[in-house]
Amino acid sequence: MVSEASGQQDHKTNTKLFLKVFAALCFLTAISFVIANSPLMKSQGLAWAVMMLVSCAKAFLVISFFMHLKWERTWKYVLTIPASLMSLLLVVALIPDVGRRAENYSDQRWLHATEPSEVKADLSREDASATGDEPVPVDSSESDSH
Amino acid sequence: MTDTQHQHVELSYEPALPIPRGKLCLWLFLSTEIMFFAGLIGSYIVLRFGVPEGAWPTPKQVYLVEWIGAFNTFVLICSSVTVVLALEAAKQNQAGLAKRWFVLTFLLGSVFLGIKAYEYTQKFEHGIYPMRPRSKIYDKANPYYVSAVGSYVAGEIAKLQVETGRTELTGMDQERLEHLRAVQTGLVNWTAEEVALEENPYAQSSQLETFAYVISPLDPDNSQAHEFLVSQKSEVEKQKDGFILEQKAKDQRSQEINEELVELNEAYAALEAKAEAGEAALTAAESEAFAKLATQRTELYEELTAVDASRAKLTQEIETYTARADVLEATLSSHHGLNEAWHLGLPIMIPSGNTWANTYFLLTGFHAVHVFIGLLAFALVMPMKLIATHAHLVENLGLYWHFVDLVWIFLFPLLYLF
Amino acid sequence: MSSPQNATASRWSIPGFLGHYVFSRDHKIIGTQFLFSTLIWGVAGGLLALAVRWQLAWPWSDMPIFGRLFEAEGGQISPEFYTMLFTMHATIMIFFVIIPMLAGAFGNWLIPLMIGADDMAFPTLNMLSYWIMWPAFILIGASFFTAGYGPSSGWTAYPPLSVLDAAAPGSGVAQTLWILGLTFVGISSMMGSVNYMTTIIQMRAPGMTMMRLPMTIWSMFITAILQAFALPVLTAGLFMQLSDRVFGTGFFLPEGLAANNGIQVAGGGQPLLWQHLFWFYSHPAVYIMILPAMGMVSDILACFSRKPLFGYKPMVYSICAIAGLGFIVWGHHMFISGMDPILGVSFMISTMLIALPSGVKTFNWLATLWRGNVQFTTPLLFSVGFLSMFIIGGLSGIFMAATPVDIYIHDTYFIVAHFHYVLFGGSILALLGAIYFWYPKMFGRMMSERLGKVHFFLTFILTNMVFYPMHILGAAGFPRRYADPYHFQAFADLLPINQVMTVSAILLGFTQIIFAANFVGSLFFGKKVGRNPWQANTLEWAAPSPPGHGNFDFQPVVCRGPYEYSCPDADVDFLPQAETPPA
Ligand SMILES: [Cu+2]
Repeated sequence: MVSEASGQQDHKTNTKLFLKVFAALCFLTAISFVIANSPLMKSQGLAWAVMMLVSCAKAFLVISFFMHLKWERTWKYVLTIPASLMSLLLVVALIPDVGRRAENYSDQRWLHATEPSEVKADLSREDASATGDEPVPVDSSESDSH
Repeated sequence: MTDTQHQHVELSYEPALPIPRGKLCLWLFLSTEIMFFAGLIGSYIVLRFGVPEGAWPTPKQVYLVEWIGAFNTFVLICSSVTVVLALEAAKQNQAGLAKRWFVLTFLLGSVFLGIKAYEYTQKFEHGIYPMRPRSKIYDKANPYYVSAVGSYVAGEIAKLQVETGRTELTGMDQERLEHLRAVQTGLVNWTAEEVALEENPYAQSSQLETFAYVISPLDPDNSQAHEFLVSQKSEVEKQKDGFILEQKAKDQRSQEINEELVELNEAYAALEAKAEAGEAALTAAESEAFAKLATQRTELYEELTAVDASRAKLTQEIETYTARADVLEATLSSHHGLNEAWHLGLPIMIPSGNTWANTYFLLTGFHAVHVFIGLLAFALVMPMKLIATHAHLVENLGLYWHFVDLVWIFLFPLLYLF
Repeated sequence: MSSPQNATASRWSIPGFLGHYVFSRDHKIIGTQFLFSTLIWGVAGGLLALAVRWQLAWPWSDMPIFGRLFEAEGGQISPEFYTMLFTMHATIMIFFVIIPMLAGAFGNWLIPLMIGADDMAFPTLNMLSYWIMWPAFILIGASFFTAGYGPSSGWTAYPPLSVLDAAAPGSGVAQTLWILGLTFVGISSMMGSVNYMTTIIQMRAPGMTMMRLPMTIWSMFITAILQAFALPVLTAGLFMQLSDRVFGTGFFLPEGLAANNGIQVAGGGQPLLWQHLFWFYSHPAVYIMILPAMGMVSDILACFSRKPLFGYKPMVYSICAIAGLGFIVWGHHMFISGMDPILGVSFMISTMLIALPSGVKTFNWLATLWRGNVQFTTPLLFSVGFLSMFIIGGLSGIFMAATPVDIYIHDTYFIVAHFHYVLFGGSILALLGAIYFWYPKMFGRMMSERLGKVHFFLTFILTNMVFYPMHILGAAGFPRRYADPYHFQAFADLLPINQVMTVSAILLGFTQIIFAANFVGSLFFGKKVGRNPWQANTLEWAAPSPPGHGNFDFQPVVCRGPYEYSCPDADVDFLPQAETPPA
């Protein structure tokens, strides 16, 4: 009923193939895990990109072998490509308004909004005037009317 | 719409695709699922990367263990392989073998859900979960956070006190009440006062950071913070000891005054009685002594009031400093701060903690729901004989299961490793 | 997934009346169930519209029926009640009337018949897609009986109004019921759309190539794709909003939100996120509401012009283009939301582009009518009504697509005019035409042509009297969604226009009684018809009227396209797609 009218000998090779794919998937998972705990994480963007590529590779393996798309006809493209493009489009279109929202925060919102908090290494710095330029949540009532 | 003609004609069709209808329908359904998860994962991505630079919690801060996630990935991959092998066996009409792979897939899926449940309890235990009307997580250590902790503690105390009115508190409740009071005086009021007195905004902010650190440290292994707390504790204890000494001195003085007053009062009373009773007036010397005694007495009374007042104040001070020392002691004794030491469930500070919790539970939750639905479907097919004629069922189920695996392949790095 | 390969081999059914008419798996029964349910909800939605109009014509005066029905402050309504009225009017009309009538009723009736199939690919799934609407009916219906008499955050459910319990009287339980109701509608639509797609792809009769499909089927197919891809995103958004309400997450609320003094929210989200997710579905939903209407009108126009549809292939391609573009224009609903200007410009351009395929369609319809042997039947009249209303509504849409113009007319009655021209003048007129056209196929009897024409002319004139002045109001800045705009001096003079509109709206409502009488009366007294009363070409007319179980009493073999009218070589002026064998 499915395109591969496989015989007995195919069955053995198929099983072998699936085990190979399985090994590749485990290996790729391990790569992600190693990257996450490696110095590469210092330059986050690069590490993220590599990890996403690894995930895409894994997804490709699962889709083409486990989901048998490798053996299907062209309809597979009609289904998978538009869906992938649409989901990418959705995410990309969300970036300006949601992904970069912090750039448009009002002073009022900064009072409550989350901020980078590299856990103050030195909690005791009483003379902290030397450090940083972070806004401090003192009651500011300038723009309350808004 | 009466069935007038029952002569059923077996209609023939020209299918456009060489696949069974069920499989086509399932693939179409999976593409709607892609869009569903695109909505969820897309929202996560923009919410997560939209937080101010560097303000996303690290896995440790939210009790996320990377290797558990990695292991769960492994479990799902294994289950993907087993379901594929079940399909292969079913196609070969090896029903027994197919059934074994099938059951194994079901078990692996259950293991995945079990691990997920364990991970959830880890978060719940530390107060990391959304809640109505608002969660216990605060995004930054600011006065709003302090007052939130204050009103939480006040509320808890009130609850326990209502209970005290009804029944005797159990030992545990009694202890909890004491802890809550210690937090109220030694932490909330302490910091509020400290911040109010401090004028330097940077010092204020570090006082607030300390406040948050004491309740639940973002970085429990921060040795400098630890040392700072140790030094603060010893300072607090030193001051407390000073207060105790002072109080002892005052106690002594108060006792002395009381003793003096007893003597004075006796002498005074004798003279007074004499003055009232006798026609014979007091001698000049006597009346002079009487007047002197009176002033002395007034002075002593005044001093006694002052000493008693400062004794009361000292008692309060000692109470505050004891509470502070207790709080610091408890904090230092545990790795994860006061919340771990005393299990009070105080509001915690994690930058972007709410956004983290919201998205984490949303994504993993909906993924888990999909796993669960898959397991239900497996359970329904389980009693069937997995022969070649039923292979299409295994195939369709497998497609769905692989999709669930696929989603996790993206969720794992996005949630655990980024 | 559960249906076996050979559809006829293992048909189960519940015996008796219940199996025949209630839990039937026959696409025709299910279509009829959708049709009757949506017509009934249409009455409810229409009454809500009349209540809105009442308030706008005679503000704060006692509202007949509605004031009593809801005991809202002793006959007189409150501003919050007014908000509920337009929220529920839109929700019901969109989700319970237009979409399920087009996709549910006509999609179900026509898809198997027009492609030559005996039923849908998955009859059980089909039945479920109807019955899963019932939880939605019940939930939305129940929300009328909760505090605030129903949700009141608009059909767009923008946060924070829709998320914070205390934001409005209807933001409590009613809003939760609304979200749950829409989720069920979404599940039903998803079930329907995968079924329709599978059926159209796999179950076409021999010879029925994709390029021989009637426009109705093409539009239903594209609509199903739109639903399948756009709806899950709304479902995701609805689940997130539900979780914001029930679990206290903050996907759509910012941190430190201060409203009503002391509302406590954890926040961490962004209100614009909801707007994006919502419109990602709800703009395509606009095409879900118009494309099937366009398809059915194409068929009706060709049939009664006795001419081939002008430009069949361009018609197909422009439907595809509208659907494709429809996915990248949703931001035009958010021009004044404070969205990123660059995003705004790209949404403006893509929206403008939609005018091209829409223009192609419009001119093709006109060209189809041009020099045709036009038969002025009721379905044709309604189709021409659709055409003219769609042109007006489409043109006013271009105004709003342009950001600078939109900034002025956003949230005024101009937009209300636009979407009522497209949805009422467009979809509803087309639906009425479709009912007149396919009624004989559905029930085996004709509807009265005379009553139908009276119904059409009154409806057409009154529709314009209700909705045309809205353009004028909008241009004057008259705001939508205000219970009492006359409160502002500038709008006080607009009251008389509104009174004319309201009177027309009430008359328009009464006009539909003619339709109801015609519809019900013809069930019993209509003239009985044969297979092909309109002498149309498409396959459904080759089946008996009404078709029995299994639809066709012969194997249809398609040998030509659907629009072979007035062929010079033929002795009749139409050549059906498949010949009916002599009985
Ligand atoms: Cu739109």
